[in-house]
Amino acid sequence: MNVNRNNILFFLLLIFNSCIFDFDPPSKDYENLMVVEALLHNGEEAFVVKLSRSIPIDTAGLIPETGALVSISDNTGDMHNLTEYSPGKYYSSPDFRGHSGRMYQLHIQTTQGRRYESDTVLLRETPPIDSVYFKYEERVTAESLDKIPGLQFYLTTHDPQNSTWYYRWEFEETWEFKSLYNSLQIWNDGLIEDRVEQVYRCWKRNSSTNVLVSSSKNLAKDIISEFPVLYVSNSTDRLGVKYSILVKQYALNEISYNYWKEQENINENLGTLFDPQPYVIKGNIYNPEDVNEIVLGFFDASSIQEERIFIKKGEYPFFKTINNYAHCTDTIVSYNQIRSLLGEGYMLVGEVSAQTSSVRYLLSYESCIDCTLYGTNIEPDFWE
Amino acid sequence: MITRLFLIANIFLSSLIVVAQPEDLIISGDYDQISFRDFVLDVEQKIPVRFMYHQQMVDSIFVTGSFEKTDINEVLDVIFKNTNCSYLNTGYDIIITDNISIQTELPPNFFARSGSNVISSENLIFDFEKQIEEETNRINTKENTVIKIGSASESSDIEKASIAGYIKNAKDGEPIIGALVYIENPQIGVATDQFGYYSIAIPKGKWELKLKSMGFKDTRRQIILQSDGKLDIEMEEDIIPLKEVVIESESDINISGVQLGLNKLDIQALKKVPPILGEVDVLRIALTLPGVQSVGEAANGFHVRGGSADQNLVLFYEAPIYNPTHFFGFFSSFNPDVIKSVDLYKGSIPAHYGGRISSVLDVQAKEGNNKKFSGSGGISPVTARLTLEGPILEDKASFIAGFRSTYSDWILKQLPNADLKNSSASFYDIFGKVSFDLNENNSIYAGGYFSKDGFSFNSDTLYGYTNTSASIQWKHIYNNKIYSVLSGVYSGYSYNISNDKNEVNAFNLDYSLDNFIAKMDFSYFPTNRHKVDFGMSSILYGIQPGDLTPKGEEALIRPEILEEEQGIESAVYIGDLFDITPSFSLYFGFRYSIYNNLGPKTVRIYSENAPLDDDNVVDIEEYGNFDNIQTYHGPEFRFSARYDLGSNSSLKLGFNRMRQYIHMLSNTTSISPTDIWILSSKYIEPQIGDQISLGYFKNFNNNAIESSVEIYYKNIENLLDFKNGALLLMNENIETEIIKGEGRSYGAEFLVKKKTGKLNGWMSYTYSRALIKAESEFSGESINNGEYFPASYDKPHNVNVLTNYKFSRRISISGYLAYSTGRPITYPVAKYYYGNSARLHYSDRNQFRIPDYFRLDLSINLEGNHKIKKLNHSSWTFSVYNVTGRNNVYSIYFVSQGGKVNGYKLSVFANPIPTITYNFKF
Repeated sequence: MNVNRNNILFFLLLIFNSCIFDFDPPSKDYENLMVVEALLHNGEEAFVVKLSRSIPIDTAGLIPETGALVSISDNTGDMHNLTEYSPGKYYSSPDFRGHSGRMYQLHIQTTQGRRYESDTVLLRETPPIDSVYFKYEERVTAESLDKIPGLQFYLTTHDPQNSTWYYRWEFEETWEFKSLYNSLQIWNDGLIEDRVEQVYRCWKRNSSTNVLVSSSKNLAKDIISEFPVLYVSNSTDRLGVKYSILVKQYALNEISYNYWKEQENINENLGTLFDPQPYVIKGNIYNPEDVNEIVLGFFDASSIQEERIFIKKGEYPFFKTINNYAHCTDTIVSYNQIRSLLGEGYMLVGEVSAQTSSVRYLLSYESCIDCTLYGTNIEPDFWE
Repeated sequence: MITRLFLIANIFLSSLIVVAQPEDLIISGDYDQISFRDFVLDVEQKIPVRFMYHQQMVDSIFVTGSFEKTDINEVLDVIFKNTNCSYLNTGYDIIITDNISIQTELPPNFFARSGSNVISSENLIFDFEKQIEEETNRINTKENTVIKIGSASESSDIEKASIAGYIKNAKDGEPIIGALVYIENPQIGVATDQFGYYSIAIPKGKWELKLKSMGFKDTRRQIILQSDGKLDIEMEEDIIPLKEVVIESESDINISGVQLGLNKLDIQALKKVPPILGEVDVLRIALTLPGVQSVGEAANGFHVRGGSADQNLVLFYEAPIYNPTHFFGFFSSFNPDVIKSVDLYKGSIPAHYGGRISSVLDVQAKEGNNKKFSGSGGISPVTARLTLEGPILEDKASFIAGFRSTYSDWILKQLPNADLKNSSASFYDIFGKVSFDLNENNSIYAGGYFSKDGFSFNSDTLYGYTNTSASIQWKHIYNNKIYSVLSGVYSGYSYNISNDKNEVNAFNLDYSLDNFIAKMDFSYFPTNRHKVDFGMSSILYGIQPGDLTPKGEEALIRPEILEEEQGIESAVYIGDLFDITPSFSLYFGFRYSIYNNLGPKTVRIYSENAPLDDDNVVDIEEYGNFDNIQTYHGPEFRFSARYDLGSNSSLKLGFNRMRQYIHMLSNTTSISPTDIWILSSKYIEPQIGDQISLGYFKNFNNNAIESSVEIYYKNIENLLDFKNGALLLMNENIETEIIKGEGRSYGAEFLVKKKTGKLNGWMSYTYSRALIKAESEFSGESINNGEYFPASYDKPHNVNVLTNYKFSRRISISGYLAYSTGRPITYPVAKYYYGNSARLHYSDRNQFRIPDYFRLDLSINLEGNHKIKKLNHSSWTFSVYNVTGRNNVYSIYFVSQGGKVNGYKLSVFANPIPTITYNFKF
């Protein structure tokens, strides 16, 4: 049961010409606080604890908390120390694995001698995702109040044991895109050489940033039906060639669900006419010597279930996607003209065969040829 | 001149000439307390005579008796026995005269007032003749007709007698509330009550009884008071609009009344305020009054002198209305055409009101025109409305019915935007009322009200809510000194949210609140110096706090029905307004209220000295239907005093205690569509508000300009606040989310008002603070470390200016200007990266303010011509809301989007909004 209060605001925006303006907030009464991010799982990847400090709201950049002693203990008496491989990031060693069903507790001691510990948390087993799928929809997005076409990705899952009830998801999108010109040759200071590395096919990736949680608590069965994961509109280049989304599913308990839900309410859902009062979101990490010290963040423990799908152009109703190459022009010139055009921002696409006897060359802008300007030309290993 | 002579002749003839008695004027009939006028109509049908008289002469004459073939003269002798009147029967015309001349005996003490103790026959005759001449000179007008009240035979040694009756509008019979009825030398006066009823005790003898009321011509009646009697008086509307008044309290009432913090608005005044989107809106106009705040432009609810929104008792025709708005607070749900007046009590609240601790907004409904059928209505960009009224029985019974509806659904369908096409926003309200005057001592009033809202955006969630009420009242006058009103009232509020977008999660959520009120109110006028109100009331509340059901066959939503809440709030009260001397009066009121929280209910028992949460439940108690779970009771003292400092100024002091047993749960800054009302229970104690206020009132220019300064201090106990992140919807154990709060507010309100003239209006400046403290004995639950913090509606500086200028009788312009300090918001103190996104950390509540608020509205009113006989009177109003187009900030908020934090300012009305409204009357 989700009551969307934002509707009323949308309505007003459309009817009464209500306006939303950008606001650059000045910093007031800055509080420098410890931030802990830790998700223990039972997979092969290392368990990572990220420690940082909060910053004034008018600044940017992560301030890592370095040099801390971080360890994890479980209810069988095992204790494992983590190692800081990059500033503020503490990794478990390869021999450490989380076990579902065990209770874990995180321990931190900073270089200033401040000690923190988490509540003990059960590493929960996560049921597999039933399916990730999409539907063609036209929706209003944050960028535009007019409806634009796109694909809405949904997720359905359930727990046959009826014991999970609380879920969280993260996703990673990867999509292939192509340059306007497939350049096979390069200009090497007067010499025309074949390209070694292609710059025509590239990939971009993006991870979820918003909180994705849902609960089946008020349903008769532990089912999450058609949970909206992401809307990909035609205002991006994602759907031009081939697109893939990987969804990771985590099981939560009621406390961690509430934590994430509060994060969503306080940090993502404000701006309605009926906003809640923002407040301190309390996590499960404390300074046992000073219970009033606020520690931001949460220690979660859950196994991970993943589901990846691919979509090729043509597998969904046709709609026009954004054209990033509208600015592109090209020119066909003789060898002698190449050098001067290169100085004007042009790049060599390659030789063009022509009826005339002399070899001619096609040139265009770099932004129309080199896809590595926007992404990577290394094909991901999962790419089909 | 000829008329005058004729009348003089009549008077003499009636006393001196032996009247011829034609044989054939014989009538039969049974009469039971019918007015003389009805009697005349009857007689004129039966026999060929014509009566000639002035209505004023016979106002107080009622005919009772059974006549069988009786000579008309005998009948008239019976009727006029013990009255002032005599008659002359010419055989064709029966001329009724007001007879001073025939008096052979004057009431005792008639001349006592002039200081003459010796009554000689010479004096008598001299006086007598002089009077005849005087009276005759003026006898053509109602105002100078002498009316004899009571009868000399009943006269006793008691020097005073009382007159009581109704003051009504001559045009449509609508009772006039707050009209002043008074005599001079000695100055004795009373004001009419909500029924237009007055009772005044004055020394016996001849008096000029004067009447005054805003919007009506001053009038007077010449009376000779012999013993207790009745006198209904009709007042003519003041049709000279140049004298119309904007916001009124009755002239010099602000000086002479004992009340503090009372604002009276009549509907004529309301219509002068520039409307928003063409709607004359009672609640928005209340916001223009000093001491009344809102969280923001689009915010539901209002805050009076630092109280929260649920602490206002909004009464519409006696019934409490729990959500008095349409469209989530944009418009008030009262049709302006059926409203007679609006009283806002924010300072001293009379003892007969109870149940909310901050204010009473009493919206009084009009009574139907009991003289002729008429109607009014209008069309604005948002709504169309029509009100009809008229007599059911002339002068006896009338009805009024008003309907208002938006046609926004139709407009939405015309818009090009697909989302709006798929949206709906509809509301309507209906009000109807009938009034019956059964006889002079008994009247029955009955009315009903229904308002309904529905909203959905892009076919997503559907919201709907309704207010329903029905009232019936019986007013019985025992004698001139005491009457009672017995009322039965039902009031209900319900809302519904449903969503069927996703088959599995489709749900339907219902909330409903019902209350049944029975009360008996007495008004007693033992002497002019005391006006006593006493009575009792009982309210039965029933609340269904949440009923969640799956919608459709596929839905898996687990049905959940929260236990109903039940309670009874009862009270007895007495209040006495005592004029100790003409310049010093006191109001002392005492109300004792008792509340019982009743079963059926399952009540958790928590371990002592531990937070009320799920882990500390030690026992569960079951209560059966109507079992008493918890009782709260306590006295509520109401006191105010007035002392005149010279004739044009006064000083007033007031103290108030109020108790409140029903509370609204809201943890949003403004009232949201999912907020609900709950009852006091074992763990939710009644809210208690104490207010002390002091005021200085001064009038200038013959009461044309009023000014006042009021200061107040208010303390609120048991305010409800909530733990961070509290879930209030569908929460069976709401006590686990509550923190007990305290409120403290204080302020000074300055008001200058010019009531008459081409340029009229008022301006006010208010300085006020509203602070809240929410402290828990358990760590981590306190808000702002248990220290006082500003409430969301704490806006210290507030200026309101409302002006109206009449260019001519047909064209007027109005302007409204509002300024206030920006409201406090909770502001982030740090940013951090978590979960692949920058996020904000908020700390203490309400420590930062949004920019100040400023708005200017203008409107031009064009009236049709004022020919009285014109069939249809119409007017056009052109108004512009927010003329300067200032982007007043409703809220500042931050959202994590795409890994970054973005800050935004939201303005609800960022542009000037022009509208045209057409109103008509027929």
